[in-house]
Amino acid sequence: MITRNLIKSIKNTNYLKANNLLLQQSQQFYTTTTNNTNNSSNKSNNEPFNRSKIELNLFQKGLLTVGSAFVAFANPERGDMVATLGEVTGGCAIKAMKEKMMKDPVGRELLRDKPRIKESTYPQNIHLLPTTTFGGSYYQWMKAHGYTPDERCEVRMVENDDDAYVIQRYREVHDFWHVLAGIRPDVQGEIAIKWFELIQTGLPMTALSSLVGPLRCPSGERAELINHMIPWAIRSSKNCKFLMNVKYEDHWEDDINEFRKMLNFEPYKYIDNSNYIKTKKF
Amino acid sequence: MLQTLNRSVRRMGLSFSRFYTSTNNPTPSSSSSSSSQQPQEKTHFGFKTVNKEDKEDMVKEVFDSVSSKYDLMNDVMSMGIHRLWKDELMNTLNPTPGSHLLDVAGGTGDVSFRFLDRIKNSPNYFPNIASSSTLKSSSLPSSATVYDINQSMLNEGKKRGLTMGYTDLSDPSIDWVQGNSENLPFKDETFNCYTVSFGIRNCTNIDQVLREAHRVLKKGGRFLCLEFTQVPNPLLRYAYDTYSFNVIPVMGQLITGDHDSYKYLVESIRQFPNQDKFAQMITDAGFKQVTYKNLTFGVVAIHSGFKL
Repeated sequence: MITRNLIKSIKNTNYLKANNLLLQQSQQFYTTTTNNTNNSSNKSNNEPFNRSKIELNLFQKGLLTVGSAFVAFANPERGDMVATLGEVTGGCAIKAMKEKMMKDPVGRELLRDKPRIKESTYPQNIHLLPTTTFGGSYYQWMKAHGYTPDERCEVRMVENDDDAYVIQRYREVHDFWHVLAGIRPDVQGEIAIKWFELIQTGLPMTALSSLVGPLRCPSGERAELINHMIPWAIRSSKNCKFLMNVKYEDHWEDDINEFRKMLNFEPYKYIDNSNYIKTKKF
Repeated sequence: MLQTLNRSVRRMGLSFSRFYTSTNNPTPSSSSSSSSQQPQEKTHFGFKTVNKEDKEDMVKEVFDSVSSKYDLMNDVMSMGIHRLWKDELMNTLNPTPGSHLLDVAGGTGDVSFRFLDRIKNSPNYFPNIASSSTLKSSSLPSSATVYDINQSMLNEGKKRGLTMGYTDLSDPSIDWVQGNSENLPFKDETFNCYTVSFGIRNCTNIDQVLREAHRVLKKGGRFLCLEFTQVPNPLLRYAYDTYSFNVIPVMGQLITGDHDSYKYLVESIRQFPNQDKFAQMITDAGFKQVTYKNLTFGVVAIHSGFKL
């Protein structure tokens, strides 16, 4: 009995040791992230991760959490409030995401180089790419809806640079997930993507939005949301690869369906397009 | 749809980031004594140290970003008490018809509107109802001039003035002038009242502002300053500091999306000289009978001086 337990404990410690060793090895790759500004191979994203930090104590964090949740619910147009809520409550989820990224070689590369997605980092030929490619589809989608990646809020309330980069990356790839899923950026679509993000990232802010969001969804669209989009989101996000470990910048010219297959990403098919106004695309 | 509106509002948080570097460390305040190099004089901007010539632009940026929700934020931060402070300022001034007020850093015109309301409601006020000539029994015309360095604050004030019926053609009239308080574009001895409320701590050269105030006032004119000052009582000071540093920037971020401007406002209060020092500065500028009155346990004080 005792010996069996002993053997079990030895086995367990070996497993833990191996895990720790793996962690240490992966840590070696990126201990220099905060100091390494100009050695990255990706020359176009060479800017150091400059940001102006806001220091918050526990009381301020609590006040911001409650306040930003209320303001975001009352006025969903306040994107900066949603972003603030995400940063302040991120904590453990960001650390978990970082662990996952550290275990993957692409994730480690992202953490080392910290590439940003901005209009200045688009490839030169993105406007020429056809919509069958990932890059072309993304560019046309952004243009059709009048978005630009430069409008995203900077992460300011996270202390550690690597953690801050994880959240910044999460914000910046949000649009890519829209394009891959084929979901429109209306209230209904945003909530579906939030459900997707909840399972992929585990951020508490996504959980809050997912639960409270459907209350703000127009009633006509809510049925489709609950019956079709949310099950799709849960299914798709469980099956596909951890999307934070993908370097989207290397796949601009890939065929979009090939890219989806590679990620094991199931896009969403809208049930009823006849009600949708013809002027809107995608 | 949602995100279009999302993104148009996202820019709100970015107005201040230009002035913060990656290290975010304050530069050591050392003015060089050598005459060969151009000495860059430093001054305080909240708790940071900046070049004197930059401070004006930085203050302008702060007020550009807060102007649209300025009145709302004032109510939220002071829980409405700022209205009582401004009322008390007008009670102290007690203007009569025929007075001309220069309201420096008047921004959205809170103090000027109170001045004009008091004139209108004064028992000695007889409006001039004959448009072509002046009635012998009418009282002397009164005016308020709102002077501010920031045009967006003045624009907000103009909008409010229209709803209240005050323009530059009404009697009493109101004017909106943009400029720097260290260099007033008015002739000597033009006004008989000069007020500056919650504005002088943002000025780079306070002595210059006080000297200009002395210049444009008529003999017998009164200088009044309503400003945040140091709280004498240590316990209350602790409570006030806790509230200021913890709650106000967060409320600013929630309501306007701008944490930094409100952090600057709170820090600039701490950098301003205390009541006695400021009274000495007013005396040095040439004012006589300089007194001050603490309001709300010393959170704000009204300093008063006369040009005699």
